[in-house]
Amino acid sequence: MYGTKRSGKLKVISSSDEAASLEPRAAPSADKPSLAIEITGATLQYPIGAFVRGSLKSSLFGLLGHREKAPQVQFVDAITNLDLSIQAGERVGVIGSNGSGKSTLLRAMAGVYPLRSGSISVTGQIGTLLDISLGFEPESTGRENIYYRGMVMGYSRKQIREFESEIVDFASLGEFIDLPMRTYSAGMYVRLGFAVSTQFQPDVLLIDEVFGAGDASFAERARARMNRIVETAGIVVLVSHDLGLISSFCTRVIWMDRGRLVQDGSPEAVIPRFLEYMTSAAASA
Amino acid sequence: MSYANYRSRKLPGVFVYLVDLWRFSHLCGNLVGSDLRSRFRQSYLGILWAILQPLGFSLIIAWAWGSIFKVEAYWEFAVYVFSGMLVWEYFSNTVNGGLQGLIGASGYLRQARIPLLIFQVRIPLSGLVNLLFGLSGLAILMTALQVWPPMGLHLALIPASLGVLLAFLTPIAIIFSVLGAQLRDLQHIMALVLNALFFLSPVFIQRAVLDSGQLIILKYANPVVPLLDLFRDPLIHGTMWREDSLVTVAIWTTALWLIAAVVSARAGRNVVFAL
Repeated sequence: MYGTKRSGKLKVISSSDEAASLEPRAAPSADKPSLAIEITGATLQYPIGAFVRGSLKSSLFGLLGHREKAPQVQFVDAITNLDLSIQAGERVGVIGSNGSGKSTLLRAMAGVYPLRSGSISVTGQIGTLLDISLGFEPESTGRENIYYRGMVMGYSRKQIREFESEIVDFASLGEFIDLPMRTYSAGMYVRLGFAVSTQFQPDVLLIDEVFGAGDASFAERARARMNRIVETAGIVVLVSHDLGLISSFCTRVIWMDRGRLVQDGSPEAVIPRFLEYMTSAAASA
Repeated sequence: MSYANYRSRKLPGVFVYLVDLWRFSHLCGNLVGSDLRSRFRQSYLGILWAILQPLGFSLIIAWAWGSIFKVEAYWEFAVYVFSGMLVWEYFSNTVNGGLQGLIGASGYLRQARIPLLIFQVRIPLSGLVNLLFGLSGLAILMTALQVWPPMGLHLALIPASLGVLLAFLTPIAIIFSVLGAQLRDLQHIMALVLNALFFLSPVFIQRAVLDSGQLIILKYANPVVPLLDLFRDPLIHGTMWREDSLVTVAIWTTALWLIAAVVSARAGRNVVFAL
């Protein structure tokens, strides 16, 4: 059982665990569905109507004959007719150039962005590391924010209290932990966010470029913890531009371009073709 | 188009939603606490401002209006203004808070699938806690002035009136949170509307003024009027609720919940794109 709540007892990543050998994964029990992400015909259009609705100023200039240079589009096609099936035990890397829909796909899997058509079904408790500096209450202390962050992940106060001291130790913020977060530097935000977000082990882990968390001294500990969490999660989907990282962590790679699936296969098959494409695109630019 | 996340076993959509609401109820409760702490953080008097602010305002208004219009029952008028201010502040803070409710929660909503209702309900719940503090201030003032209402069954309606306010203001927070995220001009429009509504409500204007002539329509068209009646009747007038006030508030509340349901269903989670 990979579960957190599912197993009846929280599974957490403790500092001592990070150096420990990996336990083999147990097979899902027969009475519970196995972990999976099933995406069928998914299309996601990002509405930008609010941004092109214009202003009184542009309307007045319009009356005088001024025309906007940019086309008045209402939607951007972020994901187009995507079919994808990810099963328990897979570690999937998502690659592609900027604006290819990688991060949007991750947020759609997390249920953050709704689809225009198609369906996504995720079986298993989801954990996200999308933007770890988001979702803090600046007027509350770091310690209070540990609770908010844990609750965003769906845990109760009692469950979070159990691991509060461990999170505080890992974040290593000293006396700042009891000061309001508006006094924190950007790096301190990331450290605390990372420490809380990676404390609990989800079934399905969705990560968006957060491996380089914090300064150099923290980054090493962060990487060790990430290795551990990625290895033990039931399903991992990792979005990154770091192809070396994707090669070392992932068993499968998805290449996306302009919201469409270009190639899906092993890292050895997909990454060289992607590099070749990027090189030729750079040469022709 | 559909999205489903089955954490333990497959359930119908409505049950998944209810389980999620329960799962994130801890977050809602703590955000209410955070609202209170952040409002009075770094202030020497802290939460006492929730009592002192309406108390001070009431005394100033009572003194100014009492002097100008030669109000005889000067201190009773202060109690009247204080009770009006409590309801008005709850109402206007819910509208203003609702307009920013989802925008302010974008950091949460862009990283996890948390029911929008958690952030919408946070606004009236925070307001209710503020109202309770203010109510204790009103009780202190009434004790000091010895203007307690007579004992009777109507006193049981005081907690019920708080429930009515919560039931009325929750759909308002839902509606304005969704519309406020999508139509950013709305906060400026509502600032004007609230200003107008303040002077068209019997917060410090004598209730009898609104019962005369063409203003009688406000008794039904302005929901703050019957809300104030339901709050004041058992608390400072020592009477049961009047039937027409109760029916008017019931109609308004039902209509607001229907509008909230339609607005929420139409927007769905698409509102996240606007944050």
